[in-house]
Amino acid sequence: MKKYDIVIKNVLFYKNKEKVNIGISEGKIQDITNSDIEGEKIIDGKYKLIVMPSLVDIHVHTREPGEEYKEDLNSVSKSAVCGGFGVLVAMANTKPAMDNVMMVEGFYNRSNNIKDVKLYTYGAVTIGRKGEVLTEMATLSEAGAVGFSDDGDFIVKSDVMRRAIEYAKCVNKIIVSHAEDPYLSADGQINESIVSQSLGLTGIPSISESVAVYRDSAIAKWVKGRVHFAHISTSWSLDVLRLFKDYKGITAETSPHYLYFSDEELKSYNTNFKMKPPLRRPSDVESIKKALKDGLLQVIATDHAPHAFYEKNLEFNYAPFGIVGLETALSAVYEKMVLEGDADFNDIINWMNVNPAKIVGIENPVIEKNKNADIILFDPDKEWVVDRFYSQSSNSPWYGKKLKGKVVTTIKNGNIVFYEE
Amino acid sequence: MGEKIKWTKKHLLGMEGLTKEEITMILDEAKVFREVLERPIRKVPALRGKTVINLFFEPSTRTSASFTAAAKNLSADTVNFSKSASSVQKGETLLDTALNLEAMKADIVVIRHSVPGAPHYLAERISSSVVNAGDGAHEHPTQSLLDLMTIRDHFGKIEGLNVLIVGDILHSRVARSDIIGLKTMGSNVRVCGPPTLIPLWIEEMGVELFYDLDKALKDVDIVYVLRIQLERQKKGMFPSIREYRNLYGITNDRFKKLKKENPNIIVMHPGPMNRGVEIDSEVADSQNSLILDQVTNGVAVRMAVLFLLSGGKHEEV
Repeated sequence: MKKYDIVIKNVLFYKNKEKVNIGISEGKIQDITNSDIEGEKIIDGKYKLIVMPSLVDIHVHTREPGEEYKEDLNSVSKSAVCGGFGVLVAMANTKPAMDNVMMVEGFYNRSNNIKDVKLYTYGAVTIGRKGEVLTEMATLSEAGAVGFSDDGDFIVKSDVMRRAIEYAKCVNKIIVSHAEDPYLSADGQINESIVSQSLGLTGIPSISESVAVYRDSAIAKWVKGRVHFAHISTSWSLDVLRLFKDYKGITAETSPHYLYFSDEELKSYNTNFKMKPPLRRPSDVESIKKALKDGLLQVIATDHAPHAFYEKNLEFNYAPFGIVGLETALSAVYEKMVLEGDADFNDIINWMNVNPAKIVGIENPVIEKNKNADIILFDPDKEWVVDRFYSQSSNSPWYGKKLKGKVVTTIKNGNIVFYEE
Repeated sequence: MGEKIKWTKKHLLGMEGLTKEEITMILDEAKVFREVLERPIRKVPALRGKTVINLFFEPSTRTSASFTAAAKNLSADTVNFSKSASSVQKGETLLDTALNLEAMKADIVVIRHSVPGAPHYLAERISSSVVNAGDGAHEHPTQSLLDLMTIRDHFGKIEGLNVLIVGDILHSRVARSDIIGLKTMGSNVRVCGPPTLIPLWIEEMGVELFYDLDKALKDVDIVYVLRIQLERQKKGMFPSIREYRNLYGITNDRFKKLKKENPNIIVMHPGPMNRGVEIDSEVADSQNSLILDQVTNGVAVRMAVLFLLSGGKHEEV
């Protein structure tokens, strides 16, 4: 009998929860079968572990170059594989910004050394992310940029955004919109609500997002271009997306924390709950979950945003926005959407593998014969406390909390890059 | 007085979370200390050997002076730090300051800071008791307590009184603490001001909301006037000082009419006042004003707070 390099046996296939055995050799999936197969190395799923293709995250702040004290390509990869991600798309707000071909080439040169995950990057929309002059999108695209974003900042000038969405049509790439009217959210720290009122913190109203979503949706439809909305957080934005749902050039993502937490968490002034857009009301959390099920939101992306401990360990207003998310994403989504909701693993793979890859035009990991062995095993019963990180940073709202369900094995190109009992 | 229940809280971070009994206990203690302040020698040994550190990250004259006086009257040793927020931004973090304070073994740290939650931040990181002397737009509990004391002294009660708070509710820590304190003690609270300076969910705090001052003033026992920060106008929060005064100022004309309806109406203000803007001098200096009583009660209330937090017992007074 043929012996494979690795055999994963007695695992449940995510699509139908049926038992399968998978044989992997030379980095590829060689066999998917019910029959017994032999391998040099055996991983036994004991009829409990779920086997899925590894996940795709199209919103990751790798911090390299420029802020390697928070994270770098190496540490973000370790963090990613621990969370079950095999493909990452890096945001362009590096320092300096990913706004010229040298930067993009540099990114891909350095990412060649990273074997655990496949790394892609967005290019910036405008030079220096200043919202004025467009980058050479076609050239950046040629160098490997999979889309364009000034994420972190909104492109305030509507005419610049119009030209960006219009111009990106020549390379059929998305513009990722960080939808936030900076005047409406000026000085804001957390969601504007009864909570911000009682804590005395300046509010960021839901409308600072939704008016920006309206503007960029309207622009995209007007110029027949494509816009993808990052981190949708509020039901007010969903109302806008519903207006435009017949126009196929508009896509949108949310993040695990918007499914999991509301602004009620801020009552402790814990800066690990401080991010942009901010956590909204409990009713928004419910709306976001429903919008994923309805397809109004197609993607879950982490917006993984590492910050050093000393940066977050400050008075609330002085701490930066952003949280890490790669290591907790799948567990959080599983808990909220599957255990507490009526979604299944097919939905999760659509939100965290199929749809994001399709939107940026890259290949997604799939479990099929002759495909690269990019596979994860998920233990749906494992309870774990979030208390240590592979990321260099630990600014997580789940820090110290218990989650149910955990990635226990990640395989990339046939190599076991993450494993735990 | 106040012996029936025991004081159990380690910090005073806000009016939020204080029970009616706890507030009453502080006010009762404060009344004792107010009597001490009337004596020729205004000093008691209650906090002898204890250290109170006043940490002011925001300019403040009266609150800082009031806490210092309170601590000295209790025979505590006092250390005053004042730092501008800018030196904090230069790398001197509150965390570093907290660690230094911890090393100095202060018994009580009084903190004023422009960032909401800064006293809570400190309380989580040091072993001393922390007193919030104002944190951004969040809370200013000792101001609320001295206001409650002033009201109780004058009316003999707090429950059932109609209190109107006028002005910039949005940015006011005094308004937040007073609303919570007054509601806890059973007053009926109204707020009035320009819509741009009133938080959208204010009615969820159990107050009645008015945009029309003359309607709001009907049947009130107390008008509590907030300071309007003139830079808010420059930021476009309202069109002009003149229009603000016309719509929301307790002007002499308005007050005269009010006194005809209720000669016993009381005016309060947390200071410092913009005379001629939110309140006219004739009103502030009138018989109906309790503004200076507030200041004296401030020292007594802060003595009571320091005393209770340090675990003092009544007979030591």
